[in-house]
Amino acid sequence: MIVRQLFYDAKFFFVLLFLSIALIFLDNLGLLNPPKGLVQTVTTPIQYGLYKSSRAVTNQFEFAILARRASQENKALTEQLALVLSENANLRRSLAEAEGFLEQKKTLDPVEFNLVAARPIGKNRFLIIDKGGESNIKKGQAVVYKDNYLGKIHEVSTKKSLVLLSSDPESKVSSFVNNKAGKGKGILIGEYGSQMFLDKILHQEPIEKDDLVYTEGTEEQIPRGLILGRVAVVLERDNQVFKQAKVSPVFDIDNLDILFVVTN
Amino acid sequence: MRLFIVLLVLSAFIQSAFLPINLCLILIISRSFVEERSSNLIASFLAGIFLGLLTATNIGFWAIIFLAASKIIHIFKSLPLTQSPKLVAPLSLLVIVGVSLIEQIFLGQKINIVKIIIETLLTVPVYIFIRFWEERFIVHSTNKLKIRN
Repeated sequence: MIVRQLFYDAKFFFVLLFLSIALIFLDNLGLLNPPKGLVQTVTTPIQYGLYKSSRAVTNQFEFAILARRASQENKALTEQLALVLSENANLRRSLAEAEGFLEQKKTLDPVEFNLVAARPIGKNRFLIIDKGGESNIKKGQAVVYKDNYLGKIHEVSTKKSLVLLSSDPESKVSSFVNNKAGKGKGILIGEYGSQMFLDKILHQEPIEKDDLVYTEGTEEQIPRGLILGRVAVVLERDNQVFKQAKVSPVFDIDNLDILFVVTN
Repeated sequence: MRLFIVLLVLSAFIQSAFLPINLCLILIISRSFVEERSSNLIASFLAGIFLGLLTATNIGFWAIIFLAASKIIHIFKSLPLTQSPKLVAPLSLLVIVGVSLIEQIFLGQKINIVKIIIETLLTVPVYIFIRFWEERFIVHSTNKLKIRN
């Protein structure tokens, strides 16, 4: 029975195989094109519908995947941008510091003055800098930028110092004005805000608007000839012994990236 | 058998429309492992012709391939060494690799290892499903009811 079944199966197999080979030859000769065309008129629209549906589904999945990828790329790019901006800020600060060093070297000779570079790290009434006693900074030392006097050290801790700005009401610096007509001396006193007040100028001493005000150098730790500001208004009254003048700073202290403490 | 033919037709449509996996071959291999009847040969022959029509290849090409695959599985099953169901995957792999080689020679398609692996792995669940279906839901003429006196 099994042998007969096997024989039947083999016979069946070879018949179908022969049919297949015959179909191959007939198809090669093009004799099956009419029936194929007929069948394909039915099957092609179904295939097209399936294909379109599959594309629609695939597009939806692709959109979801692309959206996810775009989100990830966006996140990575945002992080990279933050890094680049941070690096850029560091480079700009380094450049500003380097320029500051260069200018300072031109202005105050490092052979004569020991300068300690410091960064401003905060400002309330006093300007806070990032150098302190560790860097040999002491109370009363002058703080400068280029040839401008900014103030003097008011308090010192290990790694920080407070700078009493020349615009502070507690600040008093002996100063002078030098113009074509001659020289006038006085005391520069800070006022609340950024303005300063030049007092104790004798009536006969010449002083005009826009004259530069310099340090006299009579204080122990303040070098002579540093710029304190520019005369904004001259206040002159006949019934008073001394003349006075309002003095404005030459530049905005908030824009400074670096400043220097004169330690000798 | 009718359900199997419907499955083959559906598979032929799917694989010719968008899925680059030979679903018809997987079905034929799996059923050949389950059943050793001449109906398999007829199904293989018809599926081959239909796939030839859908994929615009020679109409007898897939018929010969499927017939040969079905017959080879029958031969494997008749050997004592290869009767175990555990050998479904390795034997399927042999047949699928053979079909891929023939495709490369006659249709100029490159052998895709991933496709071969996927098709081989798919034969196992399809085999289990067909076996379950044939054993539970198909009544064969050889199954006789015993009538007690």
